[in-house]
Amino acid sequence: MKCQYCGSNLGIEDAVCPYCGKVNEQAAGHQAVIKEYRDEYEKTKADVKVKSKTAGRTGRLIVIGVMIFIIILMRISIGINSDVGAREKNKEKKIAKEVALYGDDIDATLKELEKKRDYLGLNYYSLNYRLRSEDKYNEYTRVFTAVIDYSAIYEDILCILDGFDGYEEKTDKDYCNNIAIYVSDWNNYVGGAFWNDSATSPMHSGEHGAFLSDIRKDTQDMIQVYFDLTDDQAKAMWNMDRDSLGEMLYEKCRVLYPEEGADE
Amino acid sequence: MSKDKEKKKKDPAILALDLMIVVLIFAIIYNGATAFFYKSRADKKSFSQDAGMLSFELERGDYAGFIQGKYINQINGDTEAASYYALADYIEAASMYKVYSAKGYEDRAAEQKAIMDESRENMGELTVFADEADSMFMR
Repeated sequence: MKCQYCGSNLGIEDAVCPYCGKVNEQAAGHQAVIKEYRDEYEKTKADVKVKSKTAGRTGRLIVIGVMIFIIILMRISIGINSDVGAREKNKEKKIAKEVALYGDDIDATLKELEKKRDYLGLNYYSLNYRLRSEDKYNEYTRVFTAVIDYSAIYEDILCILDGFDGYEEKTDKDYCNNIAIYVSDWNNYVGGAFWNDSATSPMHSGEHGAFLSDIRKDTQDMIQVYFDLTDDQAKAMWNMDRDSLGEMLYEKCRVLYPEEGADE
Repeated sequence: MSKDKEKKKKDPAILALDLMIVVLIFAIIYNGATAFFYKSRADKKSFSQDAGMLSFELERGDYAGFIQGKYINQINGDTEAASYYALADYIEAASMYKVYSAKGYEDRAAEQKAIMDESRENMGELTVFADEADSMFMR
């Protein structure tokens, strides 16, 4: 455009003519529009800045809230699952549910293990499913006691042989005395003398009776072989008092396994 | 230049929140691992032992605990540590073999010998422990 006073060339942004100094009236309207736009731009910019700041804070606060919620859930889970009592209770519940659900399978497995004379298997099976506390298996009571005794004797013999002191720092003498306790109590608690069991009791008849007879003989054989007892000593041990039997077994043990007995 | 610097300057409140998020990420990782550990323990319905525990018992010479671990795991359908179970079978069979041989129960001894032979084939590198068991029972 040109200055209407001196005719010089002017830019649209020139508010006054740089040559004659007069006001460029043609540009005034344009300047006003530009100012309006600039003001609006600045206002919008400030607005966006404030809003983005607020949005950034809000977003982060939401993320933090969700994270804290997750941590609270985790702490609750830890609280529930780390409580030994609650965990055991929960475990027992699950096992009871399983026993109720698979009762027929458990019955069949028990019979099978009893028939196979799988003493250790039967012991750990009844332990795993807590069958001793189930009324349903009352007729197995003496069988369960027998396999517990057999397993304990077997484990004690292994500990003597491998020299393992156990978690209570047991000595060979302790193991021999343990064996003596199980053997001397056998007639009472497996044979049922303590409870005056009759010979016709379901706990002692049929397959259970045959099983109890076999496990007693196998226990006797195991002790006889590992303690090098004579036939007479092996037969007589069932009627010995626990102290005398413990002493006899320990005497044998010291001769047979001197290196393991060094812990006395 | 100074305008750019001003632009880059972060809101201190946002910085604090970012820092808090980082701390919470670590807290989630720690609590997640702890929760997983206790949950997996709680989900075990029995005294089932993992291979690490069986190995620990074996190293300690606790053959009784080792055999018990095998039984309990098998009852619960845990077949992961097959070579350890083979070794446990071997130790148990070897202990019985000694009894039956000494008592002259030939059939039962042969049965245990067959278990020993089969177990040896399935125990992989654990045969060294089977050899130890042999020397232990052959005394």
